[in-house]
Amino acid sequence: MFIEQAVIENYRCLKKANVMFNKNMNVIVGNNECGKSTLLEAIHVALTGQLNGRPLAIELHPYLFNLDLVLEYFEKRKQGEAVEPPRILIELYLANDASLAKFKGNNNKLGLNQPGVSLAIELNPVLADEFAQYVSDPAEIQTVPIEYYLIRWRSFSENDLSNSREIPLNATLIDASTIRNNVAASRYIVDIVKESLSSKEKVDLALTYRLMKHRFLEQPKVQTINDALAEKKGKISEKAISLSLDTSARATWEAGIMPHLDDIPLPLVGKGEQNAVKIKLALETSANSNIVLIEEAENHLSYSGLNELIGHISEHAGDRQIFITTHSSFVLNKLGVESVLLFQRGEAIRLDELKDKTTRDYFMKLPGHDTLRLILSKRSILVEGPSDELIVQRAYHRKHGKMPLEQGVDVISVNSLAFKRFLQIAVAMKKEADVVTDNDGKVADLKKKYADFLGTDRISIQYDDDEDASTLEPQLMKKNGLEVINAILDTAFADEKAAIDHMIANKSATALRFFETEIEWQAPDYIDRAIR
Amino acid sequence: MPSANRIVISAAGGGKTTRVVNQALASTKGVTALITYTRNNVREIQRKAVECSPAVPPHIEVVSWYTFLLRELARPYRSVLHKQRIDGIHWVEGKSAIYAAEANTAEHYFLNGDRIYSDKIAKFICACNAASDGAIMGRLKERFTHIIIDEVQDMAGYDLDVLELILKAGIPLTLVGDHRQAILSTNNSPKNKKFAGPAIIKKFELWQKDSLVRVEYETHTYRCNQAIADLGDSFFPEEPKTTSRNTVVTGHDGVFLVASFDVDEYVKRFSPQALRYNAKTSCGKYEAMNFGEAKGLTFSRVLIFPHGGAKSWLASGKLSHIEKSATRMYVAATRARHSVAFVFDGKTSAIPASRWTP
Repeated sequence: MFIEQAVIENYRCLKKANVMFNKNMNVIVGNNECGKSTLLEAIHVALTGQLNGRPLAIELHPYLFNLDLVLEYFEKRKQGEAVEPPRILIELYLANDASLAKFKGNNNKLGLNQPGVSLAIELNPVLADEFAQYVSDPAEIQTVPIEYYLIRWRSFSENDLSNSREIPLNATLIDASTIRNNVAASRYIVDIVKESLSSKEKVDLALTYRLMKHRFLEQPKVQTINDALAEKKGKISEKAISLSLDTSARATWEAGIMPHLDDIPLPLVGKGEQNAVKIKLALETSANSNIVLIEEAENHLSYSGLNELIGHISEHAGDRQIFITTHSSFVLNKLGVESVLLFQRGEAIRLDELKDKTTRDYFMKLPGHDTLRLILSKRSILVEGPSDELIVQRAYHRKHGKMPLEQGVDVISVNSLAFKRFLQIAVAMKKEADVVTDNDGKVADLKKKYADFLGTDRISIQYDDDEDASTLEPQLMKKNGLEVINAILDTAFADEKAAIDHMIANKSATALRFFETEIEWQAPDYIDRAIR
Repeated sequence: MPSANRIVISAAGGGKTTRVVNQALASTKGVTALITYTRNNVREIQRKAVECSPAVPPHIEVVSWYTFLLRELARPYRSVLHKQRIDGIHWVEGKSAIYAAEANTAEHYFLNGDRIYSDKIAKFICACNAASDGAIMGRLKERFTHIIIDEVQDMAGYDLDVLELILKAGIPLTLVGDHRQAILSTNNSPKNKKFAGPAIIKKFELWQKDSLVRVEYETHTYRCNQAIADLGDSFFPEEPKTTSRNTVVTGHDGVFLVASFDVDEYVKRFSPQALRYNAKTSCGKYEAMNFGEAKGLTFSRVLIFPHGGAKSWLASGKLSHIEKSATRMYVAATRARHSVAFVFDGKTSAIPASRWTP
C-alpha cells in the first residue's frame, strides 16, 4: 500500500501541485520555501485528519489558504467579478490494492478509477448566505472567514471518513523543527510509541495506569489525609473535600508518561538524539502499511550522527513508503538519486521521468551534489571548467560587489559534454540557467548543438561570434589588450600571440591571477551577458 | 458446472439468521458483507453476531440493503452519469418523478440533484455500471470476498437486476430468504413486477436455469410443531413440505378455533400473542400486532383475528379467498411454537383444526 500521486490545490504555498511518488523512498529536494514541508504536511493531514497533532477542525485557520488565491479572490470581488469562494483540496491517490477497494472510485480531480482519499476545506453550503453577507464589502477583509467553512474528508468512493483508523495506511510525520518545548517533544515520542503498540498493549497500558491511580487512593497515608480533610467539612465548603487523582478521559496514560532514553528523561537528551530516536521509532512500527514522513532528517545532527541515521533509514525502510525532505546532498547521495523528487512550488520531477534516457542514467550515476546545486539555486551559470568558473565568479563580484552565491546564483563547472543534460533538468524544473561556452572556432556547430535551447525562455547560451577568439584566453586578450594582461600576469610579452600561448599553457594559474588581482579588467561580452 | 452461488430458501423458524451469521463468522479470507433489508434486521444480525464473538469482527460488515446500494454501488462511479455527489436517499412510497424522462438523469433519479429516489437507486446503479464499463462490479469484486444477503424475498424491481449483475460478475453470493414471507418490498418500481412477492421464486429458478445459482431448500423448522408447520405449508401447496424439529408437548398443541365469546377465557388460560391482518381488523379489546410487524419474531402461542378473506378461507378451506394475503397468513401462523388459534364463529370449518371450549 502506498501513495502513488498527490493533487493539492490552494493549501498554503501549494497553489496547484500534482506529484507522482516512488513506491518506497522519496527524497524531496528543493529550495527553501518551495513547499516541501507543506507537501509532507498536506499528505499527513489528508491521511490522518490531524494538523499539528490536533484535529484539523480545531487547527483550522485562515492562513491555510494559499495567499495568492485569497488575494486574487478579494481582488476579483472588488472588481465585482463572480468568483468561487476559496477552497482547499488535497487528494491522495493510492496504488490499486484489493484491500483498499473500500476507497476506490473515480470521484477525484483526475477522474481516475483508483483508491484514494480526498480532503476538502470548503464553504459550508448551509452558511452560504452569511458568507455572502460577510464578503459583500471586499474592501474590508483580507482573510478567508473560516467560521463559514467545513472540512470534507472522503474516500474516492465518496463516502465520508470520520476517523483515520478507517484508512489502513498509517502515517507518521517526523518534524523536529516544530517541536519547540520539552512537553511537546515527549508528547511526540509518546505518540510514536503509541503507534508502535498493538491495540492490546495500548489497552494494557491504559488499564495499568488507571489501576495505579486507584491504588494511590488505597494507600493508608492518603486515606488518613482524606479522613482529615473530611473533618474540615463545613469550614471551607458544605461538601466533603477529598484528594483524588484525575481519572477522567483527559488524564490518560499518554499525558502522564515520560519516555526515557537510557534512563534519562527524553527532554533532557540532546535535540539531535531526540530527533534520531523519533525517526528510528517510527521506522520500528510494525505494520507494513506505514507511511513515514521525515522533515529535514539532518536537523540537529552532526555529520556522523546523520550518517548513522540515514544508514538506519535505508536499512529499515522495508516495504514502507518514506518521504524525506532535505537540503543535504549527503542524504541525497546516500539514499540514491533514483528516489529523488526535485520539487518546486507544486511541481516535482523525478530523474527517471526525464525523457532522455542517457541524461537520466548520467544523473543516476553522478553524485547528487551538482544536481542539487542546480535545483537549489535561483539561477545557475554553467561553465566549462575551473578557470572559466574563477573568471565568471570574479567578474560577477566586480560587477555586483557580491559573490554570485550570495545572490542565489550558482556558478557550476560542468564537463561541456554534460551541458545539455543539466539544461534538460533546468527546463524540467523551470530554472533559469546560462551556459557560458567557448565557440571553439565553430559557431555553426555550437548553434547546432544547442538548437533545442536557443530562444527558450529560461535558458541562454552565451558565446562570442568571433571564431578567431575561440576560447576564454583569446577572449580575455581581445577585451583587455596586451598591456592589462601583462600587468595582471606580471609578465612582459611583446605580442598577443605569445601571451595567449602562455595563458593557455598555464590555464589555472592565469585564472587564479585574474581572480586575485587588484588590477581593473573587463569580462568578455558573452560572460558579461551571463553575469547580468 | 453448478454455480458456487447459492439461494437458500429456508422455512420459517429454521434458524436462518443464526446460520447466516455463523457462515459470515466462519470465513476468514477478505471481507464479508452481511446485508439485510431493514435496519431492524441489521440490529438483529449484529445482536446474533455478538452472541458468538465479543464484537462484530472487522472482516464482517453488516449493512442494510440501501446503505449497501448507496455507499458501495451508487456513489463510487456516479460521476459517469451525474455531476454531483449523492448525499443521501429520498424515500418514496410510490413512484418518483414519473414525468422526468430517463435521459434527463438529474430529474429522473434525483431530488434537488443530491438525493436519489429510493425506487430508482438500483436502476441508477445498473445504468451507472453499464456507463462505466462495469467499474462498479469490478470494485465490488475487490471489495468483498463474499456477499450474504438475508431476507432476499423482499428484493423487488431493479434490485433483482443488481443481484443479477453481482451474480454475473462472479462475486460469491449467498442469498437467504423465504419467498413465502415476501410481505415487504424494497421498492415499488414497475420493473420486474411479475417477480414481485412470492413470485420472486420464479426469478430464482430462471437464474438456476442459467447456472448462475443453485437453489436449495431448508425444509425444517426448530420453532413450529408439525401441526403448525403443516398449516403454514397449506398456504403454499406447491412448495416442499416442512418438517418440524420441535417435539415439545405442552398439553395444548396444534391449530385451534376459538369462538368470540370464549376469547376472554382463552386469553386468560394461555396468554397468546394476538395478531391481526392490519389495523382495520377488529380485535375487540385486545392489543394485537399486525402480521407484518410480527415477521422475524417468535411466540409460544398466537391468537389470530382473521380478516374477511381469512374468515371465508376458514369456512371453505379455499385458498382463493386469501390469495393476496397468503404471505401474511404464512408469517402469522408460523410465529407460534406450540399453538395457533383463530377467532372463528362459523359452524363448520374446512381446515384441520380443533374447536377449543373452556
